[in-house]
Amino acid sequence: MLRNRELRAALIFISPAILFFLVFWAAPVLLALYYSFTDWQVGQTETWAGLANYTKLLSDPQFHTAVLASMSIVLIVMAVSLVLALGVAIVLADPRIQAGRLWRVSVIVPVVTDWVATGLVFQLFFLPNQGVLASFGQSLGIDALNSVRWTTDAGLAPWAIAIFVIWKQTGLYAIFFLAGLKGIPGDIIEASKVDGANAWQTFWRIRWPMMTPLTVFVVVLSFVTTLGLFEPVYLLTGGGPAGATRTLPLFLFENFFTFGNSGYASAAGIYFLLLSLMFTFTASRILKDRDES
Amino acid sequence: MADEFRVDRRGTKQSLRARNLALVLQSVAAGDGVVSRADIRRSTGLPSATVSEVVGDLVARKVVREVGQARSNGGKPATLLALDRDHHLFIGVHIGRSQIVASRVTLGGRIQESVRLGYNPTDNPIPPAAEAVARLSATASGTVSSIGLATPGIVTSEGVLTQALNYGWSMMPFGEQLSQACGGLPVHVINDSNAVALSEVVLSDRSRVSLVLLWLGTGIGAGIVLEDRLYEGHGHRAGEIGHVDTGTDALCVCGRTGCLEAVAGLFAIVGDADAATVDDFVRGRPNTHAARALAHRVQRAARELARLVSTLAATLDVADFIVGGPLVTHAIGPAVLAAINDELSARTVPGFSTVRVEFSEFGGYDVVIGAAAHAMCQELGVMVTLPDAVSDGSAPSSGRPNEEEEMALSQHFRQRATAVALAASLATAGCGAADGDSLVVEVWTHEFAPLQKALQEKWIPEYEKANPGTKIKLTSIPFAGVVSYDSKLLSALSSGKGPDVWDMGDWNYDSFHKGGYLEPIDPTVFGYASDKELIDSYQPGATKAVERDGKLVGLFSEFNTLNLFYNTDVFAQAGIPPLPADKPVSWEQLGEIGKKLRVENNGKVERTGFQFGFFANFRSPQWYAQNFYTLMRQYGQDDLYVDGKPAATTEPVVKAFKLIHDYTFEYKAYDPTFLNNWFADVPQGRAAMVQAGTWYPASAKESNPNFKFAVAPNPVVDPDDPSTYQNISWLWGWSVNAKSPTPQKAAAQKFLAFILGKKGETAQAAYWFEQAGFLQPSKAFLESDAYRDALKESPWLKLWIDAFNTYKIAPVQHSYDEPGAALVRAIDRVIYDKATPEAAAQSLQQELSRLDSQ
Repeated sequence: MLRNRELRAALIFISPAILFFLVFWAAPVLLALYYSFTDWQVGQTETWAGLANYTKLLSDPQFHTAVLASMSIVLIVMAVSLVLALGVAIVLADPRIQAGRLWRVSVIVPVVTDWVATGLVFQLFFLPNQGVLASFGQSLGIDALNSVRWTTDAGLAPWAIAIFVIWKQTGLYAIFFLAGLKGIPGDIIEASKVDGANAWQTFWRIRWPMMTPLTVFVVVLSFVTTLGLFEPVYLLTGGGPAGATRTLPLFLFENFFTFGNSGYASAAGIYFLLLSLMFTFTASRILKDRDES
Repeated sequence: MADEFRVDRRGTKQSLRARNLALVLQSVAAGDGVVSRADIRRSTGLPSATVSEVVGDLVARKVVREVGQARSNGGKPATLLALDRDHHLFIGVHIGRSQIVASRVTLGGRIQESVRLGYNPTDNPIPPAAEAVARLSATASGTVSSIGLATPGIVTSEGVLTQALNYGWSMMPFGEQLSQACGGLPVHVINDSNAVALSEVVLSDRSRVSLVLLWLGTGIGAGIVLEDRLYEGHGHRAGEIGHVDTGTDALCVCGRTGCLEAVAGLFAIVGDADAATVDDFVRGRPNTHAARALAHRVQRAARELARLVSTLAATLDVADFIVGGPLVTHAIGPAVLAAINDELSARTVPGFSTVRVEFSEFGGYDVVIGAAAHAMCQELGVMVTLPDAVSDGSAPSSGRPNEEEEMALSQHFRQRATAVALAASLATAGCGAADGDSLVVEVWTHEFAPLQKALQEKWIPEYEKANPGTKIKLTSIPFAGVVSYDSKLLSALSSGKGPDVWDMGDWNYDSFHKGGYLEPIDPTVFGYASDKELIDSYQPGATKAVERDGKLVGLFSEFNTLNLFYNTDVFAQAGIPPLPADKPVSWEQLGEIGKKLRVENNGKVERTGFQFGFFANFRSPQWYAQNFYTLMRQYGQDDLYVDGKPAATTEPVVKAFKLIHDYTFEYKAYDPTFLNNWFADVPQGRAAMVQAGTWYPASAKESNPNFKFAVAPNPVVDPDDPSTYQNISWLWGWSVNAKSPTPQKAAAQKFLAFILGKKGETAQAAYWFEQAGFLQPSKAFLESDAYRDALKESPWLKLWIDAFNTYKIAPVQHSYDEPGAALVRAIDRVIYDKATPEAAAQSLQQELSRLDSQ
């Protein structure tokens, strides 16, 4: 139990954080919630519209496309980058491999670079005929690579975006996994070896279960951040072709800023928030249940 | 303030109040026009209640006025305070050797009127002084608060002249006498060299000034200012250095020998040398005996003055020594100054910086200003700077000793006066803006290098020079950045902030007008009598996109339509003859030409024949719309909506999609995925042709100076059918923020008139055209010599005149809106998803209908 004085001190110390949270998180969310029930158009006064925006969204094919586009990119990114990250972490954590600091740094470099700068590089990377991939194909004699429309083919565009995001984010998840692996006490591993467990068994029965809380965190983090990504989509495809990669953030952005449908965009934002919360809740429940069984 | 070691009296309520008053006033003066009550509370440490009370008192007394509100960053905006520089008037009087000069001065230092009266120095100067004051009071528009009287000699704080050796005056109660003669107005008497020293301080924009002013005339005196305070000394004799002993044997008028005046006074230096001798000496030709004698006297005077200056510098640690008085304007002045400085350099002590003496920048001796400043200082308790001092070089302001010196002085004086006048107007311009604070006009533009260059290097510096007191703050924002220019504009304006004036594409005008952000352009600022006259000064119909209720809400930055640019090197290399410049080719013909121009090697596209404005990396809804609307209109439909209903499955729309489809897949003249840079693809030969406006060559040549091009009229569906001569227009317009404060709005309109030109002016339009390729469709410009010259230099420009006359031109109806976005998707379906034109039209119709039903 905190004594009164300690409690007061604690409150004083966390008050800036609380204030920050209130001003930059709670207030905007509450405002968006309010506006989502209005017909607000940028620059005009709003009137109450009840659930109109929400029902309209549910029947808006553009919104459906946006949710689908977002989900497909998120799924590709999560599936690939989490597996890749775990692999990288295992390699980096293995004492026999002796991964130096340079390797660890190289893993984190894409994470700390700027989305826009790297986005422009990836634009050039995917450009047909003149781009990096196309030139690579030319040097290998694979002419077919010239005409691959990475960012303008409805089927490939989500992949192009996902490749960029995976390159950019895997390092971060790898660092988390690495920390998790390193955090497992050595005596437990040793005990398992004494009991005759092989490396495979040690991983699946000792390391992996012990990392569950961390995994939940990384899964949720990757879902939420990827869902919210704007720059890579905007830079690589601009939502195209024909809206195939017009993800939720782009939908929100376009409705708010280009069309001025602010109330409508706010409602989409609230759906967006609900989607993130639902996933977070479900993911932690599933992993916890598994952990307990 | 609190560094007094001894206090001789207990602070009383009154003395504290006076002190608080002085403190507050000092803060207002220091932050003139940008300071609020809260700032004063912070800088003085006084309680808010006291600050409010004192400020209220000062406002009631019209010493301080409220000048507007600070830009709030949340909360109640603070009220800004400035000195009320025009209400209180002061009269400065200078008693000179043979004349009395008096001026009526505002609290800002502006001389409103001056009077000059001669008198006989053996008489009492007070009656003529009183007469001068009476004359000035009679014509005063406000209240004369007090009088400052500058006189030679030693003056006590009670205003008694105790001694003026050169005049033979002693114990004259000037202050009291003048006050009585002027109906009891307070009179503050000051020594003349102190007055000059004071004028140096009030005209300086520095704070905490320490300086010694050396008055070099017949007599020699000094005014000592330490940290903004005039140091008068125990018996008010500080600076009475004329009769210190220099150890020489020169005989002084006072009867002693060796006095400084006897060696370094102006008469002592010049002696019997006539003007020719002085001229010889100054020109470095001391050939005559008289000139050599003069050189000797100058040397001696300089030595003694340098000795004095270095003594003072060592004693007081003051760095600024300023020479005022008749010597400044005397022909021998510069030579004496140089000699003093030579002596001083020789005296430099190792480890100390060399002391230097300079002439007063202000021409030496504005005694009257100094006297008035003294009166203000005594009345208000603080020294205020006088930004308006000498607002007009012609005002007979100064108490100059005699007429001939005035001539020489005036030249020097005028130079300085211009500088000061500039500073003064800077302080007062901007109707309603705070004194001493400049008006800031915020300008936003989309990022386009020639536009930024023109503003930064030409228009803004020139405007700021022509309008001191106005500052233009330019922000450039990428047009298609992650958060685009339009979005930034809209979100800033809708939150009540944003620029005072900005440029934007015509597609924004509807929503921005609806939002109430657009201030109508005031025709009178541009020299037109009415809105109609302003509108009629442009090509018929050109203003359509910026006209609302008979007024313009935007003015042309550029107005353009599309023609066809092509790379002549590429054409020659491919063996294709140049396109006719007087008649458009058909789209069909162009498709065939484009087909021939395409180069593909082993599956790698190396060149494409034709470039639409949109492509994979450049998904601008504006360009999708511009290219599409041109085609749709040529096939016979003006807009995607007919009679307010979506009409996307009509023949013209389908045909337009089909043409885009054929260019991409049949002719393969266009390859949207291959292109990557709007301004480099054609110049670098990756594409052979592009539709663009007059702005294209300037930017294309920026990085490809050897780009060779020709222009053909924009292609049409049927060159023999005039009804297919249809094209789009677009404009970028300058607009003024309706929600900006009034002074900003006025300045914004004025700025636009400056950069775009008033009635009859074509130089601005010519500049924009030459530098940025921006075409203003003003009749005056299109008929001007400048445009004729431009035509001579770039004959292709004629196509735009022709286009305005032969094509039907109108802005696109939809681009940066929901139907515009639907159109983008439909075109994408054609060129990326290989949808048939019919299917694309069908899906567009569905989307538009859906939008319509909501």
